[in-house]
Amino acid sequence: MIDQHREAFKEEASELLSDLENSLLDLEKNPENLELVGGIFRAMHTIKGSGAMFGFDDIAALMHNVESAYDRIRNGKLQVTGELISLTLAVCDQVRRLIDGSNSGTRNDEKVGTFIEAFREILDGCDSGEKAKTSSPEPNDAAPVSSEGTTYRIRFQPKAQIFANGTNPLPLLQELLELGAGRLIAQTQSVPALDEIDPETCYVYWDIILTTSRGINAIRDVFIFVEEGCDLSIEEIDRSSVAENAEDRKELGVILVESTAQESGAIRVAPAGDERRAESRRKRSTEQSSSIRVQADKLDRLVNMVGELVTVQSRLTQIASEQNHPQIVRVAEDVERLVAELRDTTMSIRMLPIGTAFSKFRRLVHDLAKELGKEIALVTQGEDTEIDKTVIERLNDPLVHLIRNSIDHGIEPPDVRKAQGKSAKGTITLSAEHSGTSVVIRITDDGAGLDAEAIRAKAIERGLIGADASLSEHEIHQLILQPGLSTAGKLTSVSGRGVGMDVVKRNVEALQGTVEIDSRRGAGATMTLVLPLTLAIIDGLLVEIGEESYVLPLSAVEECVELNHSESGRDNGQNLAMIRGELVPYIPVRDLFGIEGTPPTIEQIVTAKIDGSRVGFVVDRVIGQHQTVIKTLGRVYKDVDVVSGATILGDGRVVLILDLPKVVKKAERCTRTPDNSGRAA
Amino acid sequence: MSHELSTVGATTPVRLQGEWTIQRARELKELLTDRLSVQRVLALDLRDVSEIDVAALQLICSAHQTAQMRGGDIFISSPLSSTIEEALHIGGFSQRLSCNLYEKNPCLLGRGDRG
Repeated sequence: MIDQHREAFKEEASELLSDLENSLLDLEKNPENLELVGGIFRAMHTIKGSGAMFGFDDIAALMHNVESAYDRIRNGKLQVTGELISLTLAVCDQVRRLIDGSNSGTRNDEKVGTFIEAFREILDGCDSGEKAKTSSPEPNDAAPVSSEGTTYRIRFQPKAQIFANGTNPLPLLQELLELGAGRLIAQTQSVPALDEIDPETCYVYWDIILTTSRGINAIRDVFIFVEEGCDLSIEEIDRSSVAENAEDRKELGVILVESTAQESGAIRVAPAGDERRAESRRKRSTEQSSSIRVQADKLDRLVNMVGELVTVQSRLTQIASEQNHPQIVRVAEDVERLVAELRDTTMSIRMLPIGTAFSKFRRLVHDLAKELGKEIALVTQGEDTEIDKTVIERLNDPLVHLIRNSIDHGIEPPDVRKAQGKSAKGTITLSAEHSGTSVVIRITDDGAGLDAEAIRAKAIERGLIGADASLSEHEIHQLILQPGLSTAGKLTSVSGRGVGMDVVKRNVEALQGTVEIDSRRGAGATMTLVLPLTLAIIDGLLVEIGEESYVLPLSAVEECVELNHSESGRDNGQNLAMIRGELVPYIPVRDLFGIEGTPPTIEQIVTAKIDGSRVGFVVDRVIGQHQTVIKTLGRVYKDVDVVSGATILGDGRVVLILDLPKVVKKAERCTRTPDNSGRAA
Repeated sequence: MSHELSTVGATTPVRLQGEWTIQRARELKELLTDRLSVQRVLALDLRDVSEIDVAALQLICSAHQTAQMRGGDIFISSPLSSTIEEALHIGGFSQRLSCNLYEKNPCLLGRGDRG
């Protein structure tokens, strides 16, 4: 049970850390934004509190010091600086390490000590400056109410079950007293006699008079974890109504009891600004209650079952049309409609806004730019674009790679940029948009762009292209996605691009996506990733070759035309067909796969865009569009690289889904070594 | 052993030792109920209590009220450890003056009634 809670804490803390990072980066840009500071403080406070609760003592200790610094900022006693932000970001990393690496929670980590020390120094510097200015009393001073600041009357009435939730009110009260000078009294009127008392129910509530210069927010923050588990009222009061000395202690009781006329259940807030806060809290709690956390594997199971249902439904539709029984047909149509709705709803559950992935890169850009002495702004667009959660997860590495490349090799140092008449600060734009059943992600930089000549020279040297090959600049740019080129470290210093780009391409292709590069020398580069919305169900094009059926991902398909043998020929070992006035290389799939039988007189050629070039795939017949539920093939078929999965047709037949870029590669290999390929061209 | 009982005249000393928190709240209730069923006046010795929380403090408060209702009393017979002092201070008990039930009687946990 405890482990389960610890896992929940880890999950929650990871999310909070991501939000924290974004807020910190925002704060660096807008150091005056106190709303951001408040948000940062609350996130830290939550991590601290729940960390302590689940035995992550290091995290709690670390966060305690950091949040104190942000509390000083909130109260205008400390300035936001780049160093402070960097230090806090480093703390976030440390906390993440503690969460990821620790199962014991109380690991003694020297780094934690170093960070705590660093923040203590900041706090000491801040406090000594403050003391010199105001000579205010120590916050821990529990002297009678006479210190600087505002006086509040607080009633803290925990719900009866607070003990059962694992909350101990004493540390909260102690934290409250640390905010300033205060007096509190336990109200025990509701405590029943021994034979009636439930020992695990809380009957006590507290009235507190607190004078603090830390503001009402600091008071609220103390109770941040028990917000739902207590009734809390905070009211600013006139200090003159509070006894200046403690001689007549009755007076405190009188003030507390008599002047606390309000219903203890209601949250009453005095300053007008807090109405807003209360409103946002109400809103937050509504939002919380309207969404629930579901384990990802449960969702995966649901998607799988919907996939099965889609398959069964298409069988039903087929049988209904074969039987041609009006009543069955009607039922089949209803089922089809409902299944389609169910499928869309299920898929939408898995959809996440891509902004969750984008936000991670702000940190990457911030850190790397600093490290390289460059000035870079990251602009994100279309964060609301939704995409399948699996795609988002697997997109992370390629995007990191592309952004690193842009920062490292694309954007020039400020002095170089200035010399070229550009602004010293470079810009990387990360954008996402829907396009049909795909999502298009673009990473654009206004840096140096690609050096086509250098790439071409390198490609010739590596034997990727012939010395006399005539390639457009666009085609040359795509060459950096080839393994032979991209693994060459030297190319980086020549062209400024290319490390590991083949890895990016491979990862994106594994997601059934494509990568394309556009660049203008001196003006920058754009990497365009086109990805399917989901990996679970795709739109496919069902084709037949002899007795065999195959599915081609529709997202890649451009058009289907009849293959006119009179307008096709061979050149340099390649089959070429004239389609709409353009010579398009094509692959006779029947020959490539060694399928027996005679092709029909009129074959079909399906053209697709592969690596920026048009390629035709010759098949016997095109059946039509097919809603394809993707099934993995299992380990036995893991070496069959020309298929990306399988699907089940309405009649129960299993059909392979072709991985078109890999089919092209296989065809290229066969062209070079014709003996291995049966009758391949 | 975390608590010792021995009867001295009409007063039963109840010596609590160790941690008395929510985990042992039921045990404490049973103990106090049991003692008050046989004796009207209890002398609580808290010097060896290493930790105490609100659940335990409110039980002591409840026992004090119960004893008074039955014409008895509870008093604290020992000096208090700094742990208890701190818990009473932070918990706002030591600031209490009188008992809720019998306003003229001092609060057991408040500053007026110790020793």
